[in-house]
Amino acid sequence: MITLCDNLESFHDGELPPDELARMKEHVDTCRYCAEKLQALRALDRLLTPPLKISARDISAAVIAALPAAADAELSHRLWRGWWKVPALVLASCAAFAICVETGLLPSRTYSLAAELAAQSQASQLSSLLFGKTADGDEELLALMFKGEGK
Amino acid sequence: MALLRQDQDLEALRGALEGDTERFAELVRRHQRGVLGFCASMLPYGAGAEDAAQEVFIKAFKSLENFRGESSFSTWLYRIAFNHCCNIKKSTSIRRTDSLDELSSHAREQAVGRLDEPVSHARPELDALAAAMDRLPAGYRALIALRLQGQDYKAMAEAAGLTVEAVRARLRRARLILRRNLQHFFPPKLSA
Repeated sequence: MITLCDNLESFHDGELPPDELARMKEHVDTCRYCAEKLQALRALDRLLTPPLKISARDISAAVIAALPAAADAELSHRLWRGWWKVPALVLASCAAFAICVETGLLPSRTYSLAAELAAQSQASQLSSLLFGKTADGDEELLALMFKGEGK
Repeated sequence: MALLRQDQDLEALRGALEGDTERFAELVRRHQRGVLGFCASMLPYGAGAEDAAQEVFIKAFKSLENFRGESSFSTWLYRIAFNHCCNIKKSTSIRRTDSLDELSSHAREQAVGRLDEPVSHARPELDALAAAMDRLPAGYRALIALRLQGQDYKAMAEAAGLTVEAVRARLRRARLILRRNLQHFFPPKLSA
């Protein structure tokens, strides 16, 4: 259960709503524990308030003077920030190409050469069947080609 | 009053977004004391607070487009300042500067100034206070620093990315730690 004593720091920091503030003021006047704690909080505040000498110098001129250099640095930082993406993209493209070739999604140079040779040998075979010397088996193949499987 | 200030900030911000550096200078002048005080409370012995504050404003200028107006401009600035001071503390804890030559010119001036002035003899509580603040975790220290700049719990919660209840609890805990570490400076009955 939250008691009035638990609200002491909020009271000290001016964070209590007006109705609770009045109740708390009355409470602090009568509660010795809260009165002492409040004194301790105020003492700590006094100790903290001038923590270190803060220069009263206006820094706006220095900030404005530093802005162009900061803008240049930001621009070059932005330009160079993604430099690694270029070689990474090249490497990734090479890897993707190699994978496609290996898996047969793209014809490789050696594959197309072999296919061309095979087509050429098929064409010469067919031409020899049609116009030149033929082996026994080849005649059967020709018959199959012209009549179909229904023979 | 606060609303009027926010309106003035938004107006200056619009000008700054259009590239009007004079409007941004206006914003700097309006918030420099708070940011400077915050940095002085966040950094060990307040060294380099002015440089840090300048860098905070430069960072803010670079990311003005990212300011969505969900919180006040000062809260947004304190958030940048908090992250910046945490980064400074992180980098200095990784690479401790052994020589004054390694410090920036202003930080060097401040450090030399501190060596010259007899602070440690005349105001021992300042040294003890700086040491006690240094021993606080960064999150707790930021809340104390924000409170010193007169920020309310809601603004502190927005700046630190916490709920109001978490701010209340952490602020209480931070004060307890500080009181314990600074008990010699309190009258006996207040030091508990």
